[in-house]
Amino acid sequence: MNQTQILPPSVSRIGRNALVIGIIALALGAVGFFIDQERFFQSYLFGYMYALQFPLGCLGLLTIHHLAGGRWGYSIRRFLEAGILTFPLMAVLIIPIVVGMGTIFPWINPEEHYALLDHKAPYLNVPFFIGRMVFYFVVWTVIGLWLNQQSVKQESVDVPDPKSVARLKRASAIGLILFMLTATFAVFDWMMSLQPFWFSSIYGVIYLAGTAIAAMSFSLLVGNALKNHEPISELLTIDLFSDLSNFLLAFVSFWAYVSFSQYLIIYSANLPEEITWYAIRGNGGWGYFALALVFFAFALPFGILLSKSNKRVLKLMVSLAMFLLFMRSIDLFWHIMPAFYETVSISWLDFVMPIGLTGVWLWFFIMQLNRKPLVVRRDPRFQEVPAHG
Amino acid sequence: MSAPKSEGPLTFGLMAEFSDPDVLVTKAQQAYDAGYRKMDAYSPFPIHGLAEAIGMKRSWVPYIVLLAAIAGGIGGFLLQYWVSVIAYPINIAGRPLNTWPAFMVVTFETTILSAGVIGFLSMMILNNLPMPYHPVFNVPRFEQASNDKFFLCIMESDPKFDLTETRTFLEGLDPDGVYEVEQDDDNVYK
Amino acid sequence: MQVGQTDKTSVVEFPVVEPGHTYRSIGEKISNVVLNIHTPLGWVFAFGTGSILLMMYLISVAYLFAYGVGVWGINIPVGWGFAIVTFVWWIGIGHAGTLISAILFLLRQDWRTSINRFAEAMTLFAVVCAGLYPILHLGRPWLFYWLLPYPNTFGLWPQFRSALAWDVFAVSTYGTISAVFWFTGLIPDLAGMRDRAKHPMLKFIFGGLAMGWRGSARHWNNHQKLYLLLAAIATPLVVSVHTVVSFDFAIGQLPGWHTTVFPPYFVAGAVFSGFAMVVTLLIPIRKIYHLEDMITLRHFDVMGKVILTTGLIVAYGYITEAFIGWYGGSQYELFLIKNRFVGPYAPYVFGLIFCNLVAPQLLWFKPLRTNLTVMFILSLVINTGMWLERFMIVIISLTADFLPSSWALFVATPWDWSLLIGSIGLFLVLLFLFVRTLPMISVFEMQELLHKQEHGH
Repeated sequence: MNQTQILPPSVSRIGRNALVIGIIALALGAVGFFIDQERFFQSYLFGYMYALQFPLGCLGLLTIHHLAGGRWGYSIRRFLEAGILTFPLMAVLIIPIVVGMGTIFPWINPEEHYALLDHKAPYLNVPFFIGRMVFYFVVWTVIGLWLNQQSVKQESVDVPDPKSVARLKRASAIGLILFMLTATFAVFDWMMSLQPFWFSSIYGVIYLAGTAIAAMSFSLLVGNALKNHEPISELLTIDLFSDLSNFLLAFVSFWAYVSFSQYLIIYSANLPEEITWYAIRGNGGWGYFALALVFFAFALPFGILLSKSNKRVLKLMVSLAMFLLFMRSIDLFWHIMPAFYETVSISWLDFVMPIGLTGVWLWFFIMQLNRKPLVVRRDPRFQEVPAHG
Repeated sequence: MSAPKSEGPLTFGLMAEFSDPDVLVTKAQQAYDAGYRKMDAYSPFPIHGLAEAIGMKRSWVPYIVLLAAIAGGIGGFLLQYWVSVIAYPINIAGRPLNTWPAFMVVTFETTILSAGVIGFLSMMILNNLPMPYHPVFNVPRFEQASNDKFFLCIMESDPKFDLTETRTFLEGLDPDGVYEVEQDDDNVYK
Repeated sequence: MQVGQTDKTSVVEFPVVEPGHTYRSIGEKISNVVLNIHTPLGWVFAFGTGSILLMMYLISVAYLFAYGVGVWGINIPVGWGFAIVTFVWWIGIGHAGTLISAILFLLRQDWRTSINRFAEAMTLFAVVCAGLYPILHLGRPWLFYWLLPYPNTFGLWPQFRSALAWDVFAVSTYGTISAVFWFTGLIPDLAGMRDRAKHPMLKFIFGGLAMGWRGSARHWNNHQKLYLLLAAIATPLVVSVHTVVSFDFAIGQLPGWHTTVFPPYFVAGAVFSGFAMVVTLLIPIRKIYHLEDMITLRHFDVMGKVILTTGLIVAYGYITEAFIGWYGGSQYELFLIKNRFVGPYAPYVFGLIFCNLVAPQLLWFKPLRTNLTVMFILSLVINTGMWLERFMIVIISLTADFLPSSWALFVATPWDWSLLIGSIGLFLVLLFLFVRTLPMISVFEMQELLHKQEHGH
């Protein structure tokens, strides 16, 4: 076994560069704080929700992998495990949002008195909001540590232990349920309450479907970066990338499905308290973002991923994964920014924030990835999966 | 083409019987390598690599299904557009006549309907089904082709076909038996 | 990828096919169910019960035709009574079939092989039972073809902005594609039946249905491509059908109907009840025909997990629906939530909470998932719960909407009940006719599975 180095120098270099770029971008962003405080916090929220997709998506995928099995998961398990160890960083990075919540969330300092906000006050109030935030991060961090600890334990023996699978499954089942509930309410808190009169019960699922796209695209890219690195290269075959691309197809379709159903239901019912959300997002230039999402976040990737032979062209899949990660930013921008601006408004801060936060996150992720061997050796289920399954 | 043998029925080809699916693939490959082209292999269940072994081209079904899906989708949308905008325009809650978000559902359904039904028909046509009579059914042992036996048939229409030589060749493949496939009429069967 | 391949380890101890089978023994065992002249007593009992209930169904339909939909408990404001509740219930049950045959096929889950044919047939018959309900509900059911877009002397066309027009397309597409999928898989097995049958009459019938299938490499080549594609298009289709059913409610403005989580939550609920129905039916059939070596405890273990998972998704739907109902702050929504729990139909709601949320939690435990008595009872409980859920959604929402002056309770009449129970008879009769006349397990796929198991690829 190649014990000398877990990650190749090229990947470590990416980590260092990501940190440098991230710090520079965040420093520029800090300058923005003194230029336009309001915009700073708005863009920060956008960048934060963008970066948060990765750990959340990793948590969802990892628990599903443990519960359902499947060869794809063993190959990218270490990536996902590293991803869910980054919640402490995300908890630190959310502090600016807490600082700026008064400017971000209109329910905190409403311009006038609304009876509806009084009704929502038991949920939408600052102490409970912060309490929930702490609770979410405690839950996510604990699940992340728990799953990693079980995984380390599984590897620590000489002979694969069947009981380790049962333990991982138990942790994942509990983890997945807690994750679904906490993540849904986190999305309600941090994105839905930007327009506090608006509500949609599927809203959490739409964001979570996006996190699955993001985490899967990201795993594909990490796999691509490591595909020539011993010993994990033996797992990173074109069959694996093709499997991951199939998941991308499923997630892209699911994201489109929930997004469109929400639109159709609200469009058809045409209730004033709901349709305004789309009325803003369909006018003032925001409509072009919506069209871009239909064609480039759904139709184009869907068309490319339909073909079986396309999924076996690694270069194409790598470009597609990068493109999908870009489209995720368009999606989140379209979700978040119209809450503040009725016509399209793009600031340089909208670029530096996601780049800065994601850069720092990537550096932290690569550090976590460097902590244990990349190949799963002691999972009894993986031992039996034949090579070309 | 099928020149009549001296007396009695025509010959469709020669058929060899095997009892293992993987053996059939190997032997079919050998027959292909020996230069035979007009042949077919019969098995109770699909065997990976068999069609390739006897030089069969890619199936047309996926392309037909794709075209049918596109046609069904466009057709479904145009139907709704025509009905709602041209033939019977009525104002429903102030929505535009071309209420495209609402039309997506039926568009999707007609896409699937068209792809599935035309796909099925294309499979039938490409397989020349229904075809109640086929010479291979004249071989009594062929009943086992849907059970646990595997057959390789080299057709008389193959340029390289020769009743004695081909029989020798098939017997050289170490089959469980070689049978002559008789044909009751002079139609050309694939 | 495949669960079926990992079961050689000690993690999962039950195999998909018990050892000792050959290609021949699989074919004979499955076709003997049909070809054997002897009819097991269990079949006679099930078919007989089904026939009696079917009589009840036919009488109810005849009475309905004679006197009109007024024989039911429906009126204003509850215009959608049992007919729509049961329509949604049946169409939901149908979803397991396509899920097992299509989605699990794409996911390469080998265990599906021994139950997919049966589940597909179940889908088909559930769609029949479901599709009849809206037609019977039309009032003038003989004019059902008015639902379709066709040139007519009135110059009228369907209104495509309505979810009810979508429903016509969704359900008829679903019925058609399910039938095509089912028959495509059936053709090679019909050829097998033709070759195995001894009686010339049977040979003729199966031969005609097999349409000359020879199992040639060309046939398989096209057939397998088509099968994969049908699985690929049936997967979004099955999701779309219950989504459209959920739109019937969700695109309206009625409290209790209008919420955006409905589409995925309806689909999950459909799979939940569909798998429960598969379990309900497979447990007796497996016993009647001694199929323990092909439908193993492994199947019930996995189905139990699917039921548990989808049940939890349904629970997620309940939670977000209730939370957003409160969070939205509409007084009508708030009243609806209250009305569900303390209103006149509260026992139904608590019954549904017990059946759909509490009882399925037993499935966390493997000994219970592989205990067939527990599974059988639980499957009945779940299907009751899912019927109650649709009752809650359709009827409770309608009884008390925006204007208190137009509130009224819904009371089911005996004809409501007889049509509901009778439709189970229609389902059973069709299903047991299928079991008696066609191979209920896919022979060629089982043989293929055996081939894969023996050769390890």
